[in-house]
Amino acid sequence: MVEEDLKDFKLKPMKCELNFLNKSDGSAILAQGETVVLVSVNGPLDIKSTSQNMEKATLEVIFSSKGGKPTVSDRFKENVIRQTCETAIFGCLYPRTGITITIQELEDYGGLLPTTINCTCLALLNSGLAMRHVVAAVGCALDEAGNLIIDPTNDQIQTATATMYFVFDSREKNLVTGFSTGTFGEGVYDEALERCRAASDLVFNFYRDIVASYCNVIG
Amino acid sequence: MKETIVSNSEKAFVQKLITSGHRLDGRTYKETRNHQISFGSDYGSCIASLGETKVMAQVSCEVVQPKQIRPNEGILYINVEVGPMAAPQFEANRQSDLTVYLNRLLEKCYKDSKCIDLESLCIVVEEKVWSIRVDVKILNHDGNLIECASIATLASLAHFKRPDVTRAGDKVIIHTMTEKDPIPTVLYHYPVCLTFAIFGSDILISDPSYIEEAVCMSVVDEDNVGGGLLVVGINQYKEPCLLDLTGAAIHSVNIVHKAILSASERGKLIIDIVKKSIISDDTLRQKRARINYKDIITNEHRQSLIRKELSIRLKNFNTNELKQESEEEMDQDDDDDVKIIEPSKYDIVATLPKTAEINAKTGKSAWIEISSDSEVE
Amino acid sequence: MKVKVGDVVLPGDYCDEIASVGAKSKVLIGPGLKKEIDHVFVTKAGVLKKRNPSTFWVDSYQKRYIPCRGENAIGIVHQKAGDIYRVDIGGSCTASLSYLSFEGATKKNRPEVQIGDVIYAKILVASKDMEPELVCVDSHGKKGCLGVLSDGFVFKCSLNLIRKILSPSCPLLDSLKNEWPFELAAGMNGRIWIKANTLRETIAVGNAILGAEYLSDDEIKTMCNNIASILTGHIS
Repeated sequence: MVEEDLKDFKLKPMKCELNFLNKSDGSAILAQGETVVLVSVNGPLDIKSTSQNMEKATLEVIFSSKGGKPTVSDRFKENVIRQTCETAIFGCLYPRTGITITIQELEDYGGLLPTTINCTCLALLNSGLAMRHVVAAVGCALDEAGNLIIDPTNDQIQTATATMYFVFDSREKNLVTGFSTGTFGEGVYDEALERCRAASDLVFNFYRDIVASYCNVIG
Repeated sequence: MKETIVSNSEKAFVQKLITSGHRLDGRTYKETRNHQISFGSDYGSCIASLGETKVMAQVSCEVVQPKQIRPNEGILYINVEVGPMAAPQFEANRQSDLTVYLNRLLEKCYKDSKCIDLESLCIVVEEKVWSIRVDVKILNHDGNLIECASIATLASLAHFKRPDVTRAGDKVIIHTMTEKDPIPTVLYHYPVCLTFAIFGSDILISDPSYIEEAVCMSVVDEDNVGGGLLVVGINQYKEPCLLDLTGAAIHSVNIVHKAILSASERGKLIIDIVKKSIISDDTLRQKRARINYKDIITNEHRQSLIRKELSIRLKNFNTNELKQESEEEMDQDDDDDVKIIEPSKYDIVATLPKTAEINAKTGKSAWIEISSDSEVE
Repeated sequence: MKVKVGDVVLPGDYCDEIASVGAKSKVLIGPGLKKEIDHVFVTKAGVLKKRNPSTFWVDSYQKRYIPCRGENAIGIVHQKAGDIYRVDIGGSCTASLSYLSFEGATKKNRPEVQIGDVIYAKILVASKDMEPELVCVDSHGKKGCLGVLSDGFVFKCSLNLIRKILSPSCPLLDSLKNEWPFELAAGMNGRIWIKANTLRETIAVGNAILGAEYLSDDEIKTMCNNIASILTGHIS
């Protein structure tokens, strides 16, 4: 069933440039539809001994909105991204060091958080840090009629009764992170999960295309 | 993470290079790196780049109560952030000397020079005025932050439009952008900050790169003490509105004079670029084109991670036009560092015969044989 | 996802060939690969490479150096602390270099090293849990080409570029060495030290190296010729 729905399904156009900033160890700028995010990754670096962890790398995520003062929702985003990245990065290979991920929002036209997660993943790929797996975030919205819309546009998000976002790993397509707004039934959630899981393949293919586009020069 | 220190070789090399009339990236003393300004979808949002230095500025506004001493004036607030995105040595959410310095210079240049008509930002005297906030975010630090930040600030201020307001009795209605056309900010003049690095006692370098900044701030030896950074703020009428010197004292007044003259030329060019890009952005917007930051992502860069400009470049490398430049030979001033040993004609040290990947995991404890014919010292 | 040698790989992929070769003989896995219980998984994005009979690794893009034993690195002396020098090699922490690990150094006869000097050294100890240790002598106590690099110029580049110019198949150094004399030391930590007779020639070497990063072998040869003719002043 799900397969049929996705046969000619497309995500919003994605555009990406790696190594956008030459001073960072890894950086990526990603546009998904109209939403644009810039991420820089630095690490592993020396950090204060108080924040060092003997077992693994300490991850620091800084989200910076476009303008104005930092808000609580920025902290929430930092938290979600940190937890997602902690499972993805092989932190145990870099004990007592710090990895800093800095995120700059450039445009927000809906789906900022999934775009940020995908962009962070691309920046990590560019930085050459060892990772267990890559992650892909896909969002979906439940409209008033009860239809599920995968990768909704800004207008669809504004009118939706609920939005759900899922982050999958690339190995088993297991759920890494999930967050939602609004109310919905359990069955809807399960269906959304399955459909987003299928759609995550498109994001993984996009990553592979990006890496393929520059692999001829890294040899 | 500490800043990586500049090695003695780099210092000496750059110093020698500049005294002999050249620069590392092949520019002339007066040449600047490429300027680029791109706007976001919102009014007052822009990314300015100067070579590889990139700064984003975003202007936002809100209605606040005015200050007691200036009841009929709006408020301009500038906030500079330098995070780890700029370069790994910076810490997040912390005021460093650099942020304070940048903030102060930008305030001097845009607030104290009174380039913005603050009175036009007043809605109700003593009650409601517009507070304009400029958030300047350093994305990439490759030298000359202040110039890039000031271009970004100027472009975003000139690009910004605030919502229209109407007063109905006591009530103040703020219209959305769709209801009424927003109002642009009034700028009396367009000031911009320009940086000069001073080498020796009389060499002025426009738009110093990261390494040039680092070298000119550090004293190499006793007879070269006059290094410093001179920031000149100047507007399109060639009126200076800011002067700031960091580093050693200047020996002669002439150099400041020279800097201001050179700044007035360069400033005019930069302000023209800013004005032109705002006009072209405006015409695009009138044609209902959707301007978005995604336009700065280009496929050709993604393809190969190509750096647009090399940081070490010969003067004539990759230029298509046939310029007839009589390059003076520089042999005379570095005879001394070669005479120690004359490297044999084909002396190249390729110490690792294999690539890193193989060596790394072979796990052999024996060191890799170093071919004795390759000498470094 | 299952991948083959030569494919573009992403972290989390695995290769069956490694397992099948591993069943018969010992397999060497290089950077970008990590063994977990049942499979060898890819940890970096790039291209999976194999060298016969049984060496596998992933070619990936990287700028930040992770110290590795046996590699030669270019460091900058950061601090003198008692018996050791602290040397910045671009890794997560500074490396230590004892003053005794120079050729002919004794307790009385210390080498002359100043803060800010550029050092070409071999990494003797490198582990994720320990501070890296450098030496400037080989196992016979000879300095070889290691030691303090004086004059010249140091610049940074990506780790890939270092591997590229040092790879025997890369024509860059072969083409350049016929054009004009120069000295070069390449540290696996993404730093290159260069020195030539004149400042202009030194810049030309740096220009050629940085310019070669994204070029194919043929393009590199053309570029070297271009630079050489710029240098001799034939074309501008």
